[in-house]
Amino acid sequence: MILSIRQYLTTAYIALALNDSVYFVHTRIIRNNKIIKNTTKEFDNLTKLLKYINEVTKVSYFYYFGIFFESVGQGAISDINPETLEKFHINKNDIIPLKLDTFYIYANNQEVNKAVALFEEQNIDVDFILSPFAILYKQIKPLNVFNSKKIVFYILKYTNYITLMIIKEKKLLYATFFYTRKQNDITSLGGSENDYIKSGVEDIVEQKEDDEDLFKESDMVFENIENMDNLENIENLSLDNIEEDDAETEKEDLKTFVVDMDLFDCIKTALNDYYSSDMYDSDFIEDIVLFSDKRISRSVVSLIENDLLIKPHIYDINILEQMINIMKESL
Amino acid sequence: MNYSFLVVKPKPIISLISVLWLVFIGFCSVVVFCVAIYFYFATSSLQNNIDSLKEDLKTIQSNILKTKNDIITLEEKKAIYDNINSSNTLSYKSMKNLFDLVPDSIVLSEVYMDSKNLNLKGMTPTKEVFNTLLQTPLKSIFTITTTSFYQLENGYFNFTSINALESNEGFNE
Repeated sequence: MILSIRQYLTTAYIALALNDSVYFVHTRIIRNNKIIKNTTKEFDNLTKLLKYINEVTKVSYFYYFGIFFESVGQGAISDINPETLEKFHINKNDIIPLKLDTFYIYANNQEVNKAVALFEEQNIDVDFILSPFAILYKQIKPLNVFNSKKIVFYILKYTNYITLMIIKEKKLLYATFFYTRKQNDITSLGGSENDYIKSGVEDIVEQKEDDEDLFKESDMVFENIENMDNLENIENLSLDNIEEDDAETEKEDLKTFVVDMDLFDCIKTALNDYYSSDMYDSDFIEDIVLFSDKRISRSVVSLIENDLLIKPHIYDINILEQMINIMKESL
Repeated sequence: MNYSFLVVKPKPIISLISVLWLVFIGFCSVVVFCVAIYFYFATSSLQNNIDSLKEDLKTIQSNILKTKNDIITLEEKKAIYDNINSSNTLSYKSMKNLFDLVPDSIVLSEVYMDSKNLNLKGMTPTKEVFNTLLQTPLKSIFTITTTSFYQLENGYFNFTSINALESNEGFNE
């Protein structure tokens, strides 16, 4: 009875992500299981954002507010045993762990609390704080890749935030999170400026090797896996592959090439860590699946393919809409 | 499956404040309903009492009326009693006066007296004694006085004296 009444009341789902001091908000208003309104807005300051959220919450009977957790104080880990946490120098009291089937993601509890407090001071309840690891996992879960014995390199690129996970079957081998651009005036939903550009499991790995040496090593590795087949089940997916086949796209490629080079750098850095550190099994990756909010420069894709000798499977996703889908499914 | 670091707080259709208000309003409604019920039954009870008292009042008024009638009757009876008593007293006094009037030498054998008539029968030694000692006072009382005599063998006279009042005034008065 209550559920039947609830579905006739207007419910607003608000997803928020911050990038380069710009707040991106996607709002979906639903009533009687029908989408009444879908809105995407950008705000350059917090006051305008709060005003907009307050307006949305006033016209809706219920609202659910989710934040894209962009703080580098997060990561993913295979388990939260004391030995594992000690191995990665993680203090259990400083993190909020969250289990995703076979592994855990975690976030610094102070930064989560700061993100919540920022909005609760304005009487806006934060219902969801979604880690990019969780969003990436939500994207790869329907791919049914966990039955495959291949080691797959999953990448989620949302503006300047790059999330990487290496998974074999159901086991998490490696995970890291990058923020690829540091700005002096950056604002963080976690309440602190980013003083570093990467986090996660990779955080605790000290990089002693020179980058060039590492990439030479990587090149040797990928030569050995040149003939590996891609995952068949991924190829059969219904998601649309990005196709770059017109001249305008090529022009855009030139513009985005520099930006997307950050992605390439992050992939190389992560693979260096993965293959060089004694903390990981360092099995060779056999496939790459890339989710991106924007079309990746064809040149960068070619660069990745030539460098890693694996053709990446690229999927275009709308992060904010995916956040709302997750929020809706979680209720 | 939960993908968020936060646990979603339940969002009830009715907020806690609204629930408290509804409980308060409900409580007040129950209290008002109970008070209304109490007053309904109290009023009903009072109405029954009023009806009962009205019935009692009617009975009492009827009794008062009856009592008043009884009082009037009793007063009438008392007046009659007083009148009779007064009349009796007067009769007694009249009788006493009459017998005081009769001298020792005259013997009465029969006396009839009502409110306006006085008939005397008796024996007198002489007519003169009767006329002097009894006839004269009777004449001063009655408007009509007639006396007849007939002589006995021993020389005495039997007499019959009829006295009457012509006016409405009673003999006793």
